[in-house]
Amino acid sequence: MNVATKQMHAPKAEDVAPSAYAPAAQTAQLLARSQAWRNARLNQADMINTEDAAQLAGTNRETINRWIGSGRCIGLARPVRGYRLPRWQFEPALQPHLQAIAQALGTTEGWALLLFIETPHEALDGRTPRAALEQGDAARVIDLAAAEGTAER
Amino acid sequence: MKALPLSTATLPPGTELFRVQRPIPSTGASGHTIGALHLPPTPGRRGRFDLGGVHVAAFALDAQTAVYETLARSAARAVSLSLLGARELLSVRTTAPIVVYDARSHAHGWPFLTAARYGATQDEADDADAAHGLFGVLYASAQRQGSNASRCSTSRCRPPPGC
Repeated sequence: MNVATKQMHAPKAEDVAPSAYAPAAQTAQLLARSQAWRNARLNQADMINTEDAAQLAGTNRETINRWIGSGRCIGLARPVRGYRLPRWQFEPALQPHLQAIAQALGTTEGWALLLFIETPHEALDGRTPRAALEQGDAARVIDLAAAEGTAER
Repeated sequence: MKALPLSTATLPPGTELFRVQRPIPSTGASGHTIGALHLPPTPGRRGRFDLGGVHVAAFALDAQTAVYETLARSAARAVSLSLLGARELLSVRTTAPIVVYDARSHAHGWPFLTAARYGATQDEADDADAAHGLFGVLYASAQRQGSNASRCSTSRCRPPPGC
């Protein structure tokens, strides 16, 4: 096989025909809608701030921030400052597995982790990874995370 | 389950195949690499038509379908930009004829082939592999109507030197 790879970064404008990509205005509109969706998610009832997360986990805010940086917990950056964290991630069925999931996914970014965990997957019989974790299928979820976003479906 | 009637297709030499993957192998047990092809560390029944104990690589016959198949699952409401930025588009060009099990013509009579019933497609792939030992499966994309995707068994994939 002859092989070529290409990083999936946005191409430079001069490298592509204008018609090959969505206009900048359309992209900006899409991202603006994304911001509204993210803000709505951040304000849902299952989200808590870093202080409350520290209390829930029996630790302090610095440790929570460190955990967010290492993928041991899911922290979603707020538009201004600070994080919002899903409360359910501190349940015993989930918390011990989050870092392994982050490592398998290859990211510690909060939205990437959250979207993986909250999206139903046919490989989990239509369950979300969160539901599968709650039902004791951690190994299957971690295995699936290792293949996420790599044409494995 | 009754096996589908055997029908095959041949991908001629020079066929270009596309795949979205990580630029480096998956972490954990270091991933599984064949040339520039990066796969999860262990084989497993994760996606459509996956075989039970063999590493299987998914490709599409065009770049857009590769992206749809990988990143635009119907159940996904959003995709993280950080995840998009951490993927690469791989293209390979075949140098020999590749005979695959062609599941496309059976999709009308066997609707599980076009649905997301992974288990049924995986059983079918196992049966076809055991009976016919072909290089892979060619099937209709479930994420992009009218396009085709294929899965190739890497146990029959031999990259050339330097690949």
